[in-house]
Amino acid sequence: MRRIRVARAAEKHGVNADPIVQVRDLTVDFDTVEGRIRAVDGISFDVLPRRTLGVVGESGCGKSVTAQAIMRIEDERTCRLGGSIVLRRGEDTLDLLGLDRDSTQMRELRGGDIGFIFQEPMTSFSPVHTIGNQIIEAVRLHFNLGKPEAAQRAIEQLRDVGMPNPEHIMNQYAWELSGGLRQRAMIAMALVCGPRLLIADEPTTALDVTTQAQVLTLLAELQDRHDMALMLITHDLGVVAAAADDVAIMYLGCIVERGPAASIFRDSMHPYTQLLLESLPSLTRRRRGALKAIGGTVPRAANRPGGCPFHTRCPSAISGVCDRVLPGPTQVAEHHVVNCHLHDPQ
Amino acid sequence: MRAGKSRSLGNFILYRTSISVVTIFAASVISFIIIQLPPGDFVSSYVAQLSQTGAIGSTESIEQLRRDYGLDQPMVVRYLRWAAGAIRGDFGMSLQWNREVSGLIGEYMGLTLMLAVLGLLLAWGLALPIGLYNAMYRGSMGDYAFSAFGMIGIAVPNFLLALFALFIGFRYFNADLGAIHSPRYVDAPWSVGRFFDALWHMLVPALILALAIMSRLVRVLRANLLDEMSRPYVVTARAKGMRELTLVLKYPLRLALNPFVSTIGLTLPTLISGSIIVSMVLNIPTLGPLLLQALQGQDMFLASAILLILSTLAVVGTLLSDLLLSWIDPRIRLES
Amino acid sequence: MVPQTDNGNEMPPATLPVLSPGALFRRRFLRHRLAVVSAIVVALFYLVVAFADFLAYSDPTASNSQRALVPPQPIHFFDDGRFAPHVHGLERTRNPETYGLEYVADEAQTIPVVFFARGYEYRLLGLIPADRHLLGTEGAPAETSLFLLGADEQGRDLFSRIALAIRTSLLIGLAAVAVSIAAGIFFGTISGFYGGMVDLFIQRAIEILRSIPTIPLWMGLAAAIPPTWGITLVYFTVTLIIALVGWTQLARELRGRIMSLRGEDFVVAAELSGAGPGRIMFVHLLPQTTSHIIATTTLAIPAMIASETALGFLGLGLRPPAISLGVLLSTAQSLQNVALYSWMLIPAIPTAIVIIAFNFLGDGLRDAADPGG
Repeated sequence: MRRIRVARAAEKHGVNADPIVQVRDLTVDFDTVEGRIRAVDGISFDVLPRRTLGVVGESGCGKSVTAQAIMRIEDERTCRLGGSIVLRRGEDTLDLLGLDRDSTQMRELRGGDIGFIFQEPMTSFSPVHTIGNQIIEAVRLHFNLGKPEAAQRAIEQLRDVGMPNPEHIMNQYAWELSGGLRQRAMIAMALVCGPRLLIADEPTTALDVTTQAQVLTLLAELQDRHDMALMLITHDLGVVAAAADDVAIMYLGCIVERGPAASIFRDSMHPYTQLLLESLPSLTRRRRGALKAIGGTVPRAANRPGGCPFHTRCPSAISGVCDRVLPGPTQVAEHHVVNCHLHDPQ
Repeated sequence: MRAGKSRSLGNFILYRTSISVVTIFAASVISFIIIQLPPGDFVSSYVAQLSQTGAIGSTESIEQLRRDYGLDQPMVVRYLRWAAGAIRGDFGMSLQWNREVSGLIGEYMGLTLMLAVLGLLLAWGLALPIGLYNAMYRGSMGDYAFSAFGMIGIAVPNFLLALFALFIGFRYFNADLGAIHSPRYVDAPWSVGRFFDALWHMLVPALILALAIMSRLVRVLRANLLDEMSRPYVVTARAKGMRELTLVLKYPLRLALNPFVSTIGLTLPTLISGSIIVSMVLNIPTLGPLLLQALQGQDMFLASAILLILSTLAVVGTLLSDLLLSWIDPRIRLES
Repeated sequence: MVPQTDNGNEMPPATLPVLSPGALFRRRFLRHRLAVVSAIVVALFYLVVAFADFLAYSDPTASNSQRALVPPQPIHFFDDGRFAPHVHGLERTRNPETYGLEYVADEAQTIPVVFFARGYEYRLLGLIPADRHLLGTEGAPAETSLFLLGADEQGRDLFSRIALAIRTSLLIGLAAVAVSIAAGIFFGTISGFYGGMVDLFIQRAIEILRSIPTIPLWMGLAAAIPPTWGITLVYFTVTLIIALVGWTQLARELRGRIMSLRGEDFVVAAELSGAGPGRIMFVHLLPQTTSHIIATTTLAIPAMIASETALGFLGLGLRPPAISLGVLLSTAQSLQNVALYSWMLIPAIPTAIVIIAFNFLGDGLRDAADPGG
């Protein structure tokens, strides 16, 4: 897939900048009929300013839950969070897990500092309220503006995301728009309060392929224009390859490998990452023959295997080690960390 | 019948109204037949009554009575006569009361409607906030308490509740719950004062009546709200930084109200049934006790008329609520 | 691309053990503590049904004007510090001021209360002749001396009558449910399966039946039962009357289920392999709705019991000499009885308990069978 970049200098965004969000030892547990299930098992990563972090993993690996935890929009009845999510605001830092979900401070951050784009633009808009109504509401939640001013701002934002005829769109319902336009409206709503971090949870999954590329290009453009950090959550390694600066590969609630995109794609260390890359249809690499699929199936979160979560499917698993001990992080290159016994010096 | 997608509001009204007319017709047939089911007729029980008191009518006058009431005609003819009269508002004579049925029913209608409407208003007025609370704080002690209480409200039949209330009222408050009028209004003609006095005394009976329906509505609303609250658009609104209460009031409640409105129609027959039995237990002078007396005395014109009128009330109420709903939510017209 | 199913859900595990639907059902049901408690309560009630005559200690039909309206009688557990349950003899007097009848305990006369005493003769489970009862008295017949919950205006023991009334009312509930389930399954299935005119006709009929308020309808029908009919016939008719409206609910729900299942591939497959409509309906489709039928049935039984009680209460359902909860409660219809002889209201308590327990149980079953719904 073509790399989606908008005339961007390779090292424009520093890898060494202070992170906007530092996630440390995040755990997410769900209370279910079958007992307490760990969906995210102590993951750590940083989101750096003006860079795109791609979080990749199969459905159910915990990537969406992680995103929801940062927004604190997790299901409060069944979901228990642990660890820390530290947000930097200027000189201050703030642990989001220490805040009450419905507190004023958290509500200010939500939609203000952090914008969120959902997978399904159709159902993510209320079917009985107009697009305009919902964007204006977002503006007025964070800015002390009257309705006309807020509407003006909403229209500008719609124009900013390349929406044709924004004044008309304002009075339409989400179900009257095409999929691509709906997702643009969703992006406009997420950006209307000028967030420093935009989290996009599978923003292209529900769209057809041509629209996917448009939306990814648009996100990249907007990121440059508004100096935002972008956390792009997807199951599609192709999307990450096209758009991300940094990559975190998740499997069954763990980050198995993370680092700068270039390093990961060039020198992937974790067997899972390698298998994922091999299963990616490639136009650039000269490789023929059938695509590889990863053998076996993902265990259910309720039945997490002991030791390394991937050992049940790993072709290079070391018996007696991988099925016993959870591998710790090993730095293999600058900022490139892998959790795998194969690369563990011990 | 499957509705065409392009059916207009006018067509829908026509369709729903015609169904209601058919239903009322069927109800009239059923009411009439039911009343004719018992062996013998009013004249025979009337004669039996007369012979007890010693005033035995001659065979000739009995036949005369039968002819007067049309009892010698075949069933179909009798039905047609009766139905023709009913359309004109003439339900014949009550044999027990020796009065026009329509006048008698008119007298009892006021309190019947008052009880039913008050019950409906209470059920709705209480169900909304409780359902909202239960959905927002699901799993809380309050939700648990309301839900358990609601289950009991649904489960315990109206008449048992009324009976318990009657007992408690009598034992501990020395009050007769069936006394709808204060002493000074008992024999007074209807006036604003008498109206509000009756309304006040109706509160407890109406609450008893409302409890089951309210509990049902709470469940419907709670389920609908929970359904809507897990929808992505609610999470979107939350991600915008909305306060939870504002959010629930603006988004899910608006969408959860539609199925809620559609349950009015379904609750009306229940409500009327309930008002009948509650007023029989508490001895409130509504159509309920009147119907019971009429049935016991084989006063067939009165009994059929009451049955028909109660059914018609339910059918017309359901029709109105359906039309209201189709006006609020155009999707209904396409679905039904 | 990462392997995943079409709808984006994670793939089901191939080898790891997963709870079966049945185990999940049990687990979900057991989490409803109220439902579990209710299941036990319902089971206890059906024990009463099975052993009603054993629990009763007085012949429920033996009237005795000398014992009319005896209030509930205290039972004394100790005699001279020794555990010896007994009651005192009753002396019937007239209050000199009000001229009302009063019963005074005769402290001198001690009537021991014993377990497994001999009493009136009955057939255990309708088969085995027996005369033992759980409780009884020694020295004097229970009919004239033991009134744990008081006596009615004919001097019949209320406790014994309640035991038998529970039997009647709960059985009538079951019978009426059986009838409505049969009708509901039949009409619901053919309505959902054939659609078209059949469906239109059945649905209109249901709509009409449901739009007539039930209580007046029942009253009208019940009033039509000739007074000359015997108990069995009345019993049967009342069952039918109650079932008349009850079946519509199940028929409607089943129709919806069947209609949605109707389009599934396995139905087409069955049709292609030559299965007739009857076989498809009752062999392929209906078993898929079992959990639904069970939950609906459990919720329908209390409604039926309530209906019988309501009709009996109004004097329109079962009539004396039949003994049902409704018949017992009909004496509480007058305010005078409620006020002066409040123990006549006692039958309302088991009625309420059994109805509530059935509802909680049905609710738990429904939740467990259909957690989303």
